[in-house]
Amino acid sequence: MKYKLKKELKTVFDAPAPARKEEFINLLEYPKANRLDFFISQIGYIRKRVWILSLLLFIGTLIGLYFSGASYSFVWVVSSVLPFVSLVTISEIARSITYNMDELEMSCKYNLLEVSLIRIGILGVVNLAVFIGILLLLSGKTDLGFIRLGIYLSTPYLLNCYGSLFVINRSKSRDTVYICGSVTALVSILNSLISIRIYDIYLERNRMFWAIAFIMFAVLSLKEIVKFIKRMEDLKWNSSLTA
Amino acid sequence: MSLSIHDQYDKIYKYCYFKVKDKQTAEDLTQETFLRYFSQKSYINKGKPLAYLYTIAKNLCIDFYRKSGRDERLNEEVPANDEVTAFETSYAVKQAVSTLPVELQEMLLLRYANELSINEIAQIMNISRFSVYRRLNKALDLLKGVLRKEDFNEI
Repeated sequence: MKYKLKKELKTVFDAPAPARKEEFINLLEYPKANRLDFFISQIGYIRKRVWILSLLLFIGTLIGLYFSGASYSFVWVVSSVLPFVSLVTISEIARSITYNMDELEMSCKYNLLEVSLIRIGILGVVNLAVFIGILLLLSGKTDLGFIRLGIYLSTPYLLNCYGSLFVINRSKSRDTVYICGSVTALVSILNSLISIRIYDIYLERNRMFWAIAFIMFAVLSLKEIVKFIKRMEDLKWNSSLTA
Repeated sequence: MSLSIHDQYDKIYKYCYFKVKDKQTAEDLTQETFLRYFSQKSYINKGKPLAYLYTIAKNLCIDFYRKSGRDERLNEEVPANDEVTAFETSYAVKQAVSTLPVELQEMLLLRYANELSINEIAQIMNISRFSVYRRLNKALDLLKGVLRKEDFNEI
């Protein structure tokens, strides 16, 4: 009864249609949202878990460094955890597509492509900040050097970005985020296993392997990002045809 | 304003119409509300914009009654044969709502028709959140009492 009553109450107060609405709104000079307002508003839509996980990882690295010092084993632990940061980012990007928000967002002032790119941009900056922070902390404590350490940490991260974007670009299922989660777990476990089994993986003689892997995953990730943008453009085009 | 101005126009108009029960006057008051709202740019960026919009509308409606010398209580009842009945709403619910005190009707409009949050209603009515909860529950209980149960027992 309560449910139906509340539903009825929605229409009980209906008034006759206003006669001068459009004319008034067209003539009304009101402050419209600018690009900066839009950008800031998008930060609010990013779920708290992104900020919390990024912060936790950063604090975790600080604690780890304080108690265990920097060693090769600490490097692989951090590099195995980093893909989970990208998973949270990916889940944010997949959300609007997975839950059929495309059409709704298409009807807004800013289209899905713009919304998605701004969110990717914000999340990318957050990830980069965490990554550089960890890199600066670790590089001072190891003899690996800034660039080598950067490659060791970012390669599993890039592999996960590629794998997750690959899934997003091809899957329309509501389980996309779970598939991305599985990809992340796989990358993390694989990275841990390789680091444990191949003891000299971080030695200088393997630098070519790391460089090739880094470039390969960076190019593949970029390819998937381009595909993702094109897919958004297709959606925009389809939407304009059906509008 | 976070929501579209088109949506807000309709909601403020609905609120003013509820107060003055005259299409022309309600629209005049709605437009005056927006003009006053946007003339205070400094306030817009400092939060509570929706509550502020409704407060302006509410004060304009009070001014209207004061100037015209009409009694607000005369409009407590929803007229049965005017154009309002042309809308596809349950006449029984309308009648039941019209038996409630105006303050409770206003609260039901803000909460269920205009979909404002408890917090926003508390700001507009200048009462605590707890009072809003209590009064809304009281309004629903009164309504349920007035309405015949058989009309609303299916979901």
